[in-house]
Amino acid sequence: MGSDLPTLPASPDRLLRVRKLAKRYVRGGVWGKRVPVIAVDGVDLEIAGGQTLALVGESGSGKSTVARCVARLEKPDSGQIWIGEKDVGDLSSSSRLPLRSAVQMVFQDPVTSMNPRFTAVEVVEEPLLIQGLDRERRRKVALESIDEVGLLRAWADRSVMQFSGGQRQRLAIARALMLRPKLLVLDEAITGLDLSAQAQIANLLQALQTSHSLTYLLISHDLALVTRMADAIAVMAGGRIVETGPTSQMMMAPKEQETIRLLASARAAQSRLGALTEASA
Amino acid sequence: MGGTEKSLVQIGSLKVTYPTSGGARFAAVDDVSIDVHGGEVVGILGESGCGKSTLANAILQLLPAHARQESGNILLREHDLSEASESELRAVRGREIALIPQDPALSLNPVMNVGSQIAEVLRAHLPLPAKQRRARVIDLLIEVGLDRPEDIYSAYPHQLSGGQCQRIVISQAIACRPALVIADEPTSKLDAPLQAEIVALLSQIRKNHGTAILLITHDPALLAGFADRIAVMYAGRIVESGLTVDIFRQPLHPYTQALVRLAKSAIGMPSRKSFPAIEGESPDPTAFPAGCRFEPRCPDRMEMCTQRYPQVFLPEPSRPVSCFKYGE
Repeated sequence: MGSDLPTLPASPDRLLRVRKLAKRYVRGGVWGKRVPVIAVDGVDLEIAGGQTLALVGESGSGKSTVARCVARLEKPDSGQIWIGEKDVGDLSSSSRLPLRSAVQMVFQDPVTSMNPRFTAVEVVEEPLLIQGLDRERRRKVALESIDEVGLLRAWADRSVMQFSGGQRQRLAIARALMLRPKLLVLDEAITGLDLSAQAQIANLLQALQTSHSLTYLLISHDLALVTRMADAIAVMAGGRIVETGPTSQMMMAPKEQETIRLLASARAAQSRLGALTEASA
Repeated sequence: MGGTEKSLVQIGSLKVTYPTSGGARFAAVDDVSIDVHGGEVVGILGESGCGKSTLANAILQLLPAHARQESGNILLREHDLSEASESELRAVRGREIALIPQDPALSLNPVMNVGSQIAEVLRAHLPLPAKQRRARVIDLLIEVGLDRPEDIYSAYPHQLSGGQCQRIVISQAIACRPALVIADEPTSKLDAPLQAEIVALLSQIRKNHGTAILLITHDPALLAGFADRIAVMYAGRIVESGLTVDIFRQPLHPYTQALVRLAKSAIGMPSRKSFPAIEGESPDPTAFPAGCRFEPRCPDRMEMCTQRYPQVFLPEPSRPVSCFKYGE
């Protein structure tokens, strides 16, 4: 399985290292005034193999831009991104191809990230088309992946539109696993779902992390959710990482204003619920 | 505003169906009854596909053309909206009952400045000279917590953030001081800190103007400390209802129990433990099981649960619940 993919140099420790990443966009254009917007301003981060780093912050803090740069959907203006021991930025686009399969991304909205005319199995096998596998092989591998994410093979030929939001997110994960990635970038992959579907997907991701030795970069605005999933948390504001550390330390002793603010809002809802549920206990 | 004894809106045995591709019809909302009193916050708790948005649209008589209200009534101060004419309904929508839509980005007109979009609501219902109307819009923008209201007035939706757009649609909803505001997942597209701000804003609106609010959500935490009463919906039916304190302190239906347990587990000690998820999916609405619709996912299922739908039991006064654990 995947034997024709060149193996990455073994990295004993850090699977992903990002140094001084910067990216700016230009807003406006055509008739409007062109205003440069600094989305990411000198971000450093690293994740050890098999671990989860949660990148949290409010919308506009730059976390999705970091995610898109790591997944090479955006070209950073400057800075370096190493996957294992390869500097991704140095590679030409053809030699980057194997690295593309090492990093896969799961998006927030499984509806818009899938072709509505595809069946479940077509969505999942799509990444294999470029690998030149024949139809039968593709289908076989895709069905195995569909099993793994907890969907029924019997549904493989249904249109993706017949699946619920949580089920579509499972398909998106099955698709991301097709190329045997080392790192999954999960861009708000859980937060758009219902509470019950969120819990199912979170549990599935945790199980897959163990069985596939996956490393996760988890992008989320929901600090409550990440406390149970992440080994470490990095808080972003205004394009920079303002605080980072192990999850327990960030929860117990947050130092920066932004972390405290995010924690407070996550806890407020919880304490309202706690007050109600424990009143009689 | 509004009496406290009499219901403001009373929904009785509502059933709404949609056609399937095979030509049959399935019920998205099935035998749903619920009251909202003046100035009260009622939460509808349920996952996507449970019929909660169909319920919201049915109240406003804004169901899509292929949907059909099979039975039941929707009384607004004892007038049945399902028998009202289109012109009567136009006088009700926005004036008496207003909707805060789920996705403000989709409901705002991208080529019209937001101030004019709020003024449009006023113009539809209140005869005001243009100058006063503008002043009123500015007041509304201040009320929903937007700084620099003059600048915001002339801004277009794409120039505003998600949170700001959400505040714009809220100001549209409250522009004519309706008796009831229906909020359909008003915070699902927003960040956690913004969600709290929007709930605080809705709470403030209710306090200042006695506006009743019907809040539709999948998240129990959003209702805690805000809703007075909650109705829990599952697969088209209300499975349990009661005061918010009772629902959270002692949920009766196994589905509610699982949801509350899950909501409480969302934040806690940092630990890489799995969530107490509710396994499985809600049933396909075109093929509901004959018995209880939660039975396939229920940890407490019994033999009889597969045979027929449980009637409403009253294990305690004012705690209706549809589950055989509480009777037979």
